[in-house]
Amino acid sequence: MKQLNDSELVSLFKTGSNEAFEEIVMRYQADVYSYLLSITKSAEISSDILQDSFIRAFKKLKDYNDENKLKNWLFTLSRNMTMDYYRKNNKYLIPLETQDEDEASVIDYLSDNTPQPIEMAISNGISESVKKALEELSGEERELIYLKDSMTFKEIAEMQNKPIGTLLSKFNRALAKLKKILSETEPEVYNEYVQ
Amino acid sequence: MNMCNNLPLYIYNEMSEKEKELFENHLAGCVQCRENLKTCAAVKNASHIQSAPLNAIENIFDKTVRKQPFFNFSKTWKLGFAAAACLMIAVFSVISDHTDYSGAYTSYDKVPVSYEDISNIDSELDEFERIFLA
Repeated sequence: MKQLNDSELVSLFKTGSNEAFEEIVMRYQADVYSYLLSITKSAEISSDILQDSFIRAFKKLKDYNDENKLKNWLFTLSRNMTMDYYRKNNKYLIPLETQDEDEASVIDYLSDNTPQPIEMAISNGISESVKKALEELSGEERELIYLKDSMTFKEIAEMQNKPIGTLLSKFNRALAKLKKILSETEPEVYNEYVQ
Repeated sequence: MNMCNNLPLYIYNEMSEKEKELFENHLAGCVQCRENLKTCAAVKNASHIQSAPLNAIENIFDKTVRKQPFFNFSKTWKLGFAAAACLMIAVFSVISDHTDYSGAYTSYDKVPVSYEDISNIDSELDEFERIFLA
């Protein structure tokens, strides 16, 4: 099952194979979960949305025809589920003017106005300082950097329906900001990584 | 497109060989890109991927591939047999209440009775009374 590509897995799932769906979940759960963490900054909320997203995917996958873009589809689905989650939970009120506008502004709003503990587990050998500095970025910038772990710029551009140039500019702006944050908060790390 | 803008594509190895060569030529002469190169590499190396909690994955499977279908065939069969048995018992008990030993249907519920019949029965009863009480 692991050798099969996404398209083959989806086709197999459509024939009624539950193992195909299990493989899809195992293949993308970490990517989707990490992406959700970048938006929500909460392990609990991310876990809930992850479950809802894959349950929705299970129901919708039979009607899904673009098998080659399964990963993009899963990310888009989880992104939409995140929007729905926050809209349904009144404790995180979204200003009316942002409700029907660009979703990115909603992500920014949520990320910047919901003070929650950063529950990101830090893996061995990875700079905690860089990760902390990433938390200082805007929600949209952080989302892009986290997406880069799982997708190419081309895939992200397709998913978000934006030109690659726009994404690259945003990524470079985020890098510049990151450099500034590191130089101010972690001069040692800054010297190690940047100088 | 500004060449400096392409730095992330270079770091994430998303350039063709030709684009890569062009960018490396640019890199040799661009101080800003060389500075940003390290930051970009640091971000790339700080992998953010982490696995979802095991219980979340189990929940997904429980609610999808392991979910018991609403129409459980074996359970339905059992219920069906039980319902059929109850129905049979009920039908037989109703029929037996209205059947004499010869099998003739003896219910009076739907037998049309005229006043004349009633008066005849009444007179017969009077006759029996008169004979036996005499």
